[in-house]
Amino acid sequence: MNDADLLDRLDRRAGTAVDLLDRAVADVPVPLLDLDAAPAVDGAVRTPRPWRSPRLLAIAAAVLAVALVAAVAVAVQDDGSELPIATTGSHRRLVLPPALADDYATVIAAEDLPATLPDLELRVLVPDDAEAPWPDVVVEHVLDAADTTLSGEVVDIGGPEAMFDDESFAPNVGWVDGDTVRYIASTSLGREELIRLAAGIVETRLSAGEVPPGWDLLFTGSYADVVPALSLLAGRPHEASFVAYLDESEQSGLVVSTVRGGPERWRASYAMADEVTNIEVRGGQEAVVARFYGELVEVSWIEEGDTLVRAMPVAARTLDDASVDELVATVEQLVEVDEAEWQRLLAEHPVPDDESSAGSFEGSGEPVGDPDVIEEWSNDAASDPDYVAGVVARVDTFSARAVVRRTPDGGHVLVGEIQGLSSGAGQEQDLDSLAGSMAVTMTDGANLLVYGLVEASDMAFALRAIDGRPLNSAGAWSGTNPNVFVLLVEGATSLDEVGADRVVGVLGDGSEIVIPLR
Amino acid sequence: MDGDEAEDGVTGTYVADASFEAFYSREYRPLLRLAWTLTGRRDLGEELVQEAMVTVHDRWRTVAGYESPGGYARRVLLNGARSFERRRVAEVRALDRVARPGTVPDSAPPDDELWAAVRALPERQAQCVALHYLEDRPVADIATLLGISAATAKVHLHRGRLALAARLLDRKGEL
Repeated sequence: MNDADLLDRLDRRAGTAVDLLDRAVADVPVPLLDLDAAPAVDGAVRTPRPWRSPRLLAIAAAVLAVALVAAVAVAVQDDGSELPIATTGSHRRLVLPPALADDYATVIAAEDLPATLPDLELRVLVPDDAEAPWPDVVVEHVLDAADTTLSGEVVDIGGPEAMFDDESFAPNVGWVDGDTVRYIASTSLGREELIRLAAGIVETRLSAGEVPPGWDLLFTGSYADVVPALSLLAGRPHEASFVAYLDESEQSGLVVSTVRGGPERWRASYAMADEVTNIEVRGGQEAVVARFYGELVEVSWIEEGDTLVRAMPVAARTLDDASVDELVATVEQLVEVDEAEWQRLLAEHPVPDDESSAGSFEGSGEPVGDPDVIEEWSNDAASDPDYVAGVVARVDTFSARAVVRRTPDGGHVLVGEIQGLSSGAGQEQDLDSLAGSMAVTMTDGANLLVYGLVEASDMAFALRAIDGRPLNSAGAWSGTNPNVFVLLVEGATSLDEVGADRVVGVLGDGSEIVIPLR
Repeated sequence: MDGDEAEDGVTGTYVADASFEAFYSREYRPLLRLAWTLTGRRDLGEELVQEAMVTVHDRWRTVAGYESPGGYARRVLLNGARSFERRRVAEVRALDRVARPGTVPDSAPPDDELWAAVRALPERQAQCVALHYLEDRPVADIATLLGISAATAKVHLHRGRLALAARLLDRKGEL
């Protein structure tokens, strides 16, 4: 039974259960309201929600970075001739032909990118009796205990402190092992299976790196191998080639990566996907459309048996099926280029140095600033009935958030807060309404926070200079309505220092709104 | 307040504000449905609804002006369910130990096998699944009500439904 059939049956059963419940409740008299009953909300004990591990922060950073990365122009063959076919000895490079590349404002061609995120080796395991395409996979990695904290539901795996977390990028079990925390994650194994596997690893006292009985090691790589979008930001795999096509807003486009690899590397590339659809591309080559965490979509395949190709759209919104179809249609148009042509592209159109990274997301998973404040931030969305929308972001030296709350008089207030290594700051703005857009700035004396809101949920944000150039900042937005955003600039305390005068919000269709800052 | 019986079956009036009274009588049963499935016992669900409605009543002057007072009430109820479970587990266990067999009424909701499986899901998944099935809410509404992004709500709902279905499959592969 496939997932669709399973869910269909579940829906039918749930529908019957709800009907029965409705009939049962219909006979319940509505009682007098006892105004002396103590509300359950006030004084409730909240379990602290620890910050995410650095791997998840890195993933979040990558989603933002791809949306904010700058681009360079791709060369166009003046004579309109087709580009030479690749005869590379390493791996194939695929690019859009000039006719399609012209539709984009700029493109980056890159390889040997500098690593901007800490390395994280991981291993992809499969059952030892499985064959390609290996429906069940487990991704295993280890973090320094100082860099991560367990989160989720406490589970028993036979000794060490362990938790099952089903609200992260991929469901996982993590447990403390000496001065490390070990994780096994899977989107195909269920909760009980993951817990049993973790318990088996603990019981047999397997060290990190040893393969559990009943399993085989399929692939060893880094997180960039298993998560889309991280490749460009992380500079890994080191041997991969990248080409990115972006429109004028730099918020929409396409990223194509190629690296030498076979079925094992390919399977690792969508190991963490929630949904996988099998298709064929480019003359009958098997491919998959993989969706990750509801946010990211990637099309991947093995080109001519030796090169793993991964194509991911750059988009400020979650893609719908029509957009995925468009992506698939685009990859059909990719052509190979030879080594000489590729080197020419690299030489003429490198990644600009000052825009190669949208803010630094390195550092430990530990919160920056007062732990009590950070804990309150983590709990607010779930515990505060007046919470409307909000977003939190962090860079190396400070965390910041913006929140919209209801006020007792029926209005709303926008709150901006900074939590630095040694100090914090906050400010509030009364809101006349949640319609329209606004942006304000604040500083803690060491860093700059630009924050605000717009009515549209389907929008990404960037800081722009007076001359329209995109500026280096790290940003996040809630994706709700109102859409609350924060843009963080380390080491600056005023708009004059960074030369910014506006925030640009880009809708999913590429249209923009400008929110003045002065 | 007097003891007049309102036409909707609510016995006695308890607030001076007629708008809250209408809200209370309209929302009581839908909230009870949610609370009953979240607690697994009708008596506990009723208590949870009472507590949530007291909170709403105390803030009614503000809540009445919200775009969705019902959404606010559900947020309060869902928040309350979290701490409610911890507070009541000890009481229920104590009561079950001292009561004679058969004296504790079976107040589980119909098909509690399904709702028990929902309760066993991670919190966010359980909330999304319950709101999806009980109130037929679209993902965007669920996201707004829970204060999370629509994409995140979609993931929680998808994973929750799959996990729920897996738990309910019997040995014959039937659901």
